[in-house]
Amino acid sequence: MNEHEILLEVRGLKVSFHTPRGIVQAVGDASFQVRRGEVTGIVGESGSGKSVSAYAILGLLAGNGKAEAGSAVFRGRDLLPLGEKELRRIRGSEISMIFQDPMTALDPAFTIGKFLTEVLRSHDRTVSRREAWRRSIQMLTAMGIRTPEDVMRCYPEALSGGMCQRVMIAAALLCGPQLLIADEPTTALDVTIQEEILSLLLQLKEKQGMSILFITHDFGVVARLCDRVAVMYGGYIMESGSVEQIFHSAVHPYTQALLRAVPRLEDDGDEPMEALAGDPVDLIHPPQGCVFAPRCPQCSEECLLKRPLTADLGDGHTAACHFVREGGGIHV
Amino acid sequence: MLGYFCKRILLIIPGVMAVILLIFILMSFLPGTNTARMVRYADDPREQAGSLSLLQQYGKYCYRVFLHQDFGLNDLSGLSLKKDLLHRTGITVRITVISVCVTYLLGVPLGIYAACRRGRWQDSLLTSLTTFFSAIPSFCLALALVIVFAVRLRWFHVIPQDPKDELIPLAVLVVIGAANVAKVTRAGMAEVLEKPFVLALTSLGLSRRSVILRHALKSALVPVFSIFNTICAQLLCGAIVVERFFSMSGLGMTMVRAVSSRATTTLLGCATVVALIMSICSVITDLLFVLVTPSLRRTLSFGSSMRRRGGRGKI
Amino acid sequence: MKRKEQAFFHNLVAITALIILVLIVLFCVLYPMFADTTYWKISGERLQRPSLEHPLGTDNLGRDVMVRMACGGRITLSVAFCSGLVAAVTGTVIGIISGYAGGGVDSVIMRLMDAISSIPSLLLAIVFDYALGMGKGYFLFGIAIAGIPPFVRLVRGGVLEISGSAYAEASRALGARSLHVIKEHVVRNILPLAAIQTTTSMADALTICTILGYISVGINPPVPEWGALFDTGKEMLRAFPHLSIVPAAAIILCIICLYLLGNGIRDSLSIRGGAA
Repeated sequence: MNEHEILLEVRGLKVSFHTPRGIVQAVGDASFQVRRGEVTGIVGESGSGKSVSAYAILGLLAGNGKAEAGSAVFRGRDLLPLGEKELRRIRGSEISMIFQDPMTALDPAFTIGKFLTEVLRSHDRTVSRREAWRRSIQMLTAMGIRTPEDVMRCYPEALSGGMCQRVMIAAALLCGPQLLIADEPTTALDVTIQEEILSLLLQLKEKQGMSILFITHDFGVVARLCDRVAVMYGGYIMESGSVEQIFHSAVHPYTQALLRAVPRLEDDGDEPMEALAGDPVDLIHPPQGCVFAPRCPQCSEECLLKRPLTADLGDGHTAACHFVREGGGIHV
Repeated sequence: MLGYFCKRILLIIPGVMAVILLIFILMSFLPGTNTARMVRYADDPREQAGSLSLLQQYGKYCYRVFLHQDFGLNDLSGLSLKKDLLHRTGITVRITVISVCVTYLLGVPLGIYAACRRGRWQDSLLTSLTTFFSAIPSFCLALALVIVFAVRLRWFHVIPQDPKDELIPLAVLVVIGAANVAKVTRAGMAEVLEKPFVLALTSLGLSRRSVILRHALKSALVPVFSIFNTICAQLLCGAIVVERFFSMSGLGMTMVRAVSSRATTTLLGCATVVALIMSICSVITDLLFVLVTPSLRRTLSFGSSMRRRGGRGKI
Repeated sequence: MKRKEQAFFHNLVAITALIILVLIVLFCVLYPMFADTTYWKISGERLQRPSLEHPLGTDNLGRDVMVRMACGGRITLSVAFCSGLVAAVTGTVIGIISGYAGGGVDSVIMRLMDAISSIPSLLLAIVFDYALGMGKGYFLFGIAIAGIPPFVRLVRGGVLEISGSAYAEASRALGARSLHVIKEHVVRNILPLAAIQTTTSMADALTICTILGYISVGINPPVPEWGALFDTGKEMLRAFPHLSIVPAAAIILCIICLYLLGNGIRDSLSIRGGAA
């Protein structure tokens, strides 16, 4: 098995929603990849299309949403044109997903035990109930739950948020998927619990070589967990590269602005933190040129008229900006 | 939980007594009636009739009803009301029970179907139909069905003669009840389908069938079951109308006749029976509600809701 | 753009429903004033076909059906509107008291509401009519009382939600008196919901009223009521179908208009700010 084999490659993904207010173009053009054993982060503010991209990969878009263009190749197979039946076989057993608010992601009317055994048995009918129960308990133990038997008999409302998220991760990993999509799994949790869930994910990555697509708006989390990052804004990937490239040599004005908005310990507090001026993109009427242009400090005539192409800066570092030249170097 | 329901069943008696009290109080305002002797009994002594106060009469009535099932004399026939009530209640209860069951069996699947096709033409069609059928009064629907199926198609007798002929009255009740059940089911299901856990279950590879029929349905049924006694009340009202329309001698017909011939004892007896039926329905509603709400089920088996709020922490 | 169109469309339906209701009410109020006969007067031959003189013909006693429809509408609609309004006002007040007082008062009120809602409204109307004097319209109170519980639950729920909400806490922290906070929000958020419920209650009251007319309890001949008119018309269905079809159509039209009006209010609310 190749260390750096590309597990999932998303290219030119475009997702739109038909709403009474008009067509919302949630994702305009997104390309990113997840390699085996690596964690890829997608960073962006709310409404940037990061979660929608993930939903589109698994065919989980709401009824009025549609992936209109692009491909999402997972182990040599494009997932986007697949039917419900084929997707069902992939969901849970090859690609799993965990969600933002774990308390609402579990069915309140089922005990954890019933839920986990059903997940297992829905993928493999031959597993007996007893066996499913045993494996569920094993998985809960692996998630760091000390009293798995008690938890199995609980309804979700009796569990804390962190516990629910552990159960959700256990459910996601139960059928041995190769890729875990984590949609802001720590956002709704307390800071201390966030830390526990993060170290659990980190442990999964390091000990089991789990590949994770990690969606977040928190650069701090990205720095701890991810190998590669894609920065998303207004439905477009602005910049992507390894964690070092993004944190130390970001070229895109948006990434730079985001990084400046992250508070640092070494700051002595004299300089005010910079916030990004302006409003997020109107996704119904996206701008003609670069989606970031209206808020970009370096915006030029060209930026307002023409959408920038993605430039390869070498070593997997790419950026979509008129000021960035192919092969590196910044053109002013 | 068993204890809770035993308590609930025992509470039916004070509930029905409260309804009887309400009727007694209302009746006491009735001008021109003999408030001194509201209920006629078979063993009434002729002379001392005026000696009991209203409250004493109430006590006597409750005592006789609950301990001896003695409802007094039927003013309409002069015979014991008990036998008559038993027979007539049987007719009304039979059509109500059958129509409530069929109503749910028909309304819930229709509501689920509409919710799953939300925003498409099937949904719009079903929504328009349910609005129309819940607006149409039962006697109009009864007439329409009679014209089509009994007069034009001659499938049934206009006035029920065979057991088969009861299908029209039943259909009237079922159509109206099912329209309401479908409306509530659709709303409940549509709301649950938006919940994150539905998405999460789908993302774990559960089939759509299992997600909708096993998981979402369980939450969606909460509002559907909590209107159970409203539906029962509605169909009981409907049964009264339908009985009159098809000249069936049920509880409703008796009640209407009692009103027009000012038969207080008979009306009181009918009202008591209806109150009893409705109390039983509300116990069933609670039971159904507990069945689909696991947290409530646990609360009940652990004790009062207060104890849960105070005592049990989260793991 | 499309959003506005849709909002307008829903409002168009609701406005049409409202206009139809107003037209029906106007007809019921005005027509008998200008007709040269009344609902009990025999004004011609029995069972005439519709003509210029008698737009809907005459009934089996020779009374003008159009006038009887209008007078019947006065009764049916006033019962529906009055009992709906009485239920709405009483229910809203009780709901505010219940939600605001809490504790013992609240639980007594809610028990009482449970008890009321377990009695079928038709039975309540019949008992009220019988006990308080027949044919005097007291059944209206029965219908109104049966309509109270949904209002109480709705308003009480709203008050509880508001008094526990972050908004109320913030206002209290800023020094607003809590009663004022609740008042403000009851007016802004709950009254529209109560308005929707009022249309439903009126539709229910209308149904009960026509049923009472149909089984001739509380409303006795010669008083025309739509349900009663339907009942007399039914006997002559084969030869004179319009005698029962017209009252039935009027009843269904009014109920559907009330439903559509309620839906219209709900839709305009949810488009405006997702309150419903």
